[in-house]
Amino acid sequence: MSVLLFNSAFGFYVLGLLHSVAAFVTKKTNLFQKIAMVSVSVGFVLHTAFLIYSAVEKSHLPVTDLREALAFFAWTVSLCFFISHLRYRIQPLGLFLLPLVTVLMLGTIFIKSSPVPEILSSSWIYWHTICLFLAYGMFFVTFIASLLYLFQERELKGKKPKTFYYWLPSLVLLDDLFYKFLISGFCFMTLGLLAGVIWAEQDWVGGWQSDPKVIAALVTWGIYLLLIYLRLTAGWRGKRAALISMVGFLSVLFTFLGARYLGGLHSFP
Amino acid sequence: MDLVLVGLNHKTAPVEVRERIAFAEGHLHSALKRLQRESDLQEGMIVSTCNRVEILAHGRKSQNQIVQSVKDFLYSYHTMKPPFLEDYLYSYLRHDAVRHIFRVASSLDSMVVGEPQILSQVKQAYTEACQAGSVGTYLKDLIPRAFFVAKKVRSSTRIGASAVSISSVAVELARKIFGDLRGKTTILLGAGEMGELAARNLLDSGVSQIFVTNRTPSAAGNWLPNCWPRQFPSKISEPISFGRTSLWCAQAPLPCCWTKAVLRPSSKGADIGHCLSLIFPFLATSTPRSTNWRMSFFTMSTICNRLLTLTFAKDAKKPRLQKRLSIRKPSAT
Repeated sequence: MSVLLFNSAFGFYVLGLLHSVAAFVTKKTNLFQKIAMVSVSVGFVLHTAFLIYSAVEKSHLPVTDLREALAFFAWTVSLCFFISHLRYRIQPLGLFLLPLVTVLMLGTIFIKSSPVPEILSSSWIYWHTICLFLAYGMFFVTFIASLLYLFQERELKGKKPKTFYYWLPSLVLLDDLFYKFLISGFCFMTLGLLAGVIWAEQDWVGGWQSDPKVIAALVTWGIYLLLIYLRLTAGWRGKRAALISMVGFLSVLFTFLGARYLGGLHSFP
Repeated sequence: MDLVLVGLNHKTAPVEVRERIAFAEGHLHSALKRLQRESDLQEGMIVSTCNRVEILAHGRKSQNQIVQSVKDFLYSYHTMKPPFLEDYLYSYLRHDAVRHIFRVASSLDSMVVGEPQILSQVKQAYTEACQAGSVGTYLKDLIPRAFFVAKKVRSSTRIGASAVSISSVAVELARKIFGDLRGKTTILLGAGEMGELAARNLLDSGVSQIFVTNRTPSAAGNWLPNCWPRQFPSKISEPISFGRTSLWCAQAPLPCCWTKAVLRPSSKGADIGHCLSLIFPFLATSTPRSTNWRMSFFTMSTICNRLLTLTFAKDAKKPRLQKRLSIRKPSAT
């Protein structure tokens, strides 16, 4: 049952992605975009059903191994896509967010499930992972928003409008999307890190402070804190903020994927 | 006996160069006289707009000599040293010159192709040249023919089908930067023809309130009642705090607004979400000259999370302030 739910969710995501690409290529945004949104909505509902079903079946939230984590991350990215679509109606977002969802889902298929280590059977893991995955999803939206901002700014400054100029929304809208997701992502990351610290203090052996993933996460958190601070005090917006957020997202990627290979407490089989 | 056209436009020269060799409206007459005298030309006409400066010359010398003497005139008139302009200037000879002036008058060479203003600007240049006595039989034959061609292009093609102007493109650009303009308040600096067009386009896109400022109140009063029933302050005489878009359509030889005046942050009441400002970057040479803002409008949006205040620099004509600018006044003959 869970396999069926998962595969059909994956199928609908792919369908949504294909229609988003078709909307961009053919410029028939209305028709293809509607089909894409309906497909992604159905995919999202099935994906949510899959997560609930797995949670009931395994009697814990499916966020404990890499396979489950990727599937959950895909769900958070698609949740972020929905929130941003409902609030801002920025059509190009789908073209950037859906490929990630698809790749994450595809990755899930090829990774084998592993048994849950004893140490991860704490309730803190839910707070820790859910908050951090939500933060990562939101930071990804922030990253895409800054990318689109740079594209649009380049088009505007170039004075020779090409496809992107007509396709992308206004700078202020992108900036607003950027800021809202930045703040929300930062809040979730802070909560996730706090949950992790409390959990580590309670259950883990000492020396978790020097774990590579913990340090990488703190660096990421610092970069985003700096970005928010500079925005609030020095009014850093636009290009500079976009570039910093890109550095921040590279740091997120390293924290999520790279730090795994440096060993430490977060490297589970 | 040869006809040449020497000039530069928005495709060959950046705005900083264009504004340096632009001819101010009031000085065109004397410039034409001086061109004729210094360059030993039979006939001459200067087309100076925000996007181009072109000199059409007809003389007894050889083509190359005429081109060189026109270039020499540009250098001496604007007190520049050669070869500053060499990279930006183009020259057309005989048939090519005729073809080019036809293209310009027909708005095929404009930044916004099909904008109707260029024809009236060429007409204005022709009238000035006639008044200065620098038009002879050759240009008297050629230029009216260019007007005829321009009208024919406009009437028998679809070039004028969509109502385009620099102002409409600028408002469209504002929409691409600031998103929906509905409910926003805008300051319009300059109440000339461009200002009027900008105001109409802004109203069409749903701007709720427009403040128009002008150095002479009368010009603002001429068209405002037609497009907006409310009474506007026709002049910004006191600091005005704005959380709104501002469009700059003023053409002035000196700054009418100072960076410090605009960037003075107010201590209270900053409405972060709505403090937006747009300077027309391409509405002419007027923008860099009429403000001393050496910043792009993107930089503006980065500082606009503070409340800005805007004042007209009443003392813009003081020599001290002129000195601060690198704008050279045309040397009188």
